[in-house]
Amino acid sequence: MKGIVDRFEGNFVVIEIDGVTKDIPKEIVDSKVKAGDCVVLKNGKWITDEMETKDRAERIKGLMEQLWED
Amino acid sequence: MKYRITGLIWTILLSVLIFAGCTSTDTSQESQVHVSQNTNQATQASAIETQHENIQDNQQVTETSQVQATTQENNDVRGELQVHFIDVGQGASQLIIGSSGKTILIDAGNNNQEEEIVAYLRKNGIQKIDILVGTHPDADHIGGLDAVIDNFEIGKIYMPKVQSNTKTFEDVLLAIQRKGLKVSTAKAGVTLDWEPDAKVQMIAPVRDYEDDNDMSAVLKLTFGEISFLFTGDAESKSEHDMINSKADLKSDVLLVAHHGSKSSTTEAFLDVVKPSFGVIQVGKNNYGHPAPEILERLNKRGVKVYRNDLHGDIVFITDGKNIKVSHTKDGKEEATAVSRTQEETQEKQGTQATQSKETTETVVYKNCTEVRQAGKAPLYRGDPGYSRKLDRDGDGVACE
Repeated sequence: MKGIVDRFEGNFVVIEIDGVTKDIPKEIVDSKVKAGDCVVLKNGKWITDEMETKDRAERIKGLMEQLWED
Repeated sequence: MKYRITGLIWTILLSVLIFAGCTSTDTSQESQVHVSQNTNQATQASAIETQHENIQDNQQVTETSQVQATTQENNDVRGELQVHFIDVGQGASQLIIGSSGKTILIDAGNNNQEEEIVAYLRKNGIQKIDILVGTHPDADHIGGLDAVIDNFEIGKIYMPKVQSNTKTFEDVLLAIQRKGLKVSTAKAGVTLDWEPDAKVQMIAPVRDYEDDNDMSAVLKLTFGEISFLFTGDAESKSEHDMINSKADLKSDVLLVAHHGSKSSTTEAFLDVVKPSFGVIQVGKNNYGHPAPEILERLNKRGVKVYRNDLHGDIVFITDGKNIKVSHTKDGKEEATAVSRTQEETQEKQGTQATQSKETTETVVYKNCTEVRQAGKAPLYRGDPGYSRKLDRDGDGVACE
């Protein structure tokens, strides 16, 4: 299963899976995971997919640069 | 010399022509605006009537109170201003309708609430959102913005320049792009061009923060003697900087930041805002929102608190002097019990209510040890097994 980290709330990491946000207990999320990371569930733990995170971050950054007027 | 004079005459002629051109375009735009606003208002008026009828079925409660003046500016207000704290469950969305019918929408709840938001705006006769604000890119605030952009005419869009990589955020950006719109950066010091009889200023973010919540756009709205503070998810760091920025934060109505989380709404912030009313946009959640200590903090200061989970949609109407509050639910605590016991499902309220009532009647704990053994501590007021005996300090949380 794959997802994107939206935010941290209390003891949960809010991960967007197929466009829907889910509350995932912190215990099953790798401690290195940050908001904005593309994550993947491997052996019961959510870990960061570095390559996918980099690609996605660049794409969204490009879109923002086109849309912001200042 | 002769050339100079001829040149001067040409310049004058040209300026007059340009000026005349501008004026005529301006006037036509203005009248167009007036026409569309009038239509807006007409539909709005009828929609409000229907809304009131609907609300009455749900035992609507309306309270009026005279609020002490916070500012003396903009006293020549016309008509009424409405501020709707829309019930989007665990998320946030505020709709402001000015005296001539212009609108501001701040946030639009989570993705799964977008149909409700669109329906709510339609029900209120909204055709155009003049100013759309995404306080910060968290999904529970911006989730429904794409649907709003797709379904309504949009004026200006403000968001802090903060990136999120979610599909939810990408969908918002793509909706903006599809409509050929642009985004202006939300930051402290920006004054919004809206209704002439209302003042709308951005108070935060004062600087850049690592935390998305602290990057929240915070808006202050002043209408006559009444003011509102919309805080997004701003936390203590941003609150501290707002206080130090010397901006006038005093407001009659405070949107209690971050759904009543304990990381916001510091004593120092309340000292300067001095609200009479506090609104908490909260629904069923796993995060402990609103935090009992924040409720206690507000209660101690005599702030009248309204919550979407207990009061449904909450609407403030002001003529610039008085505030009238109406809401669609009766504000009874049972509603929280329902949402806390049904953690996973999102069934209709009716089923939830019966189920939770049944459980409430059957579970009895003798003491907190039993509660802890059952893995149910802490118990909130309305939870199955909660009793005043277990909640000695009476803060609504037992065995904490």
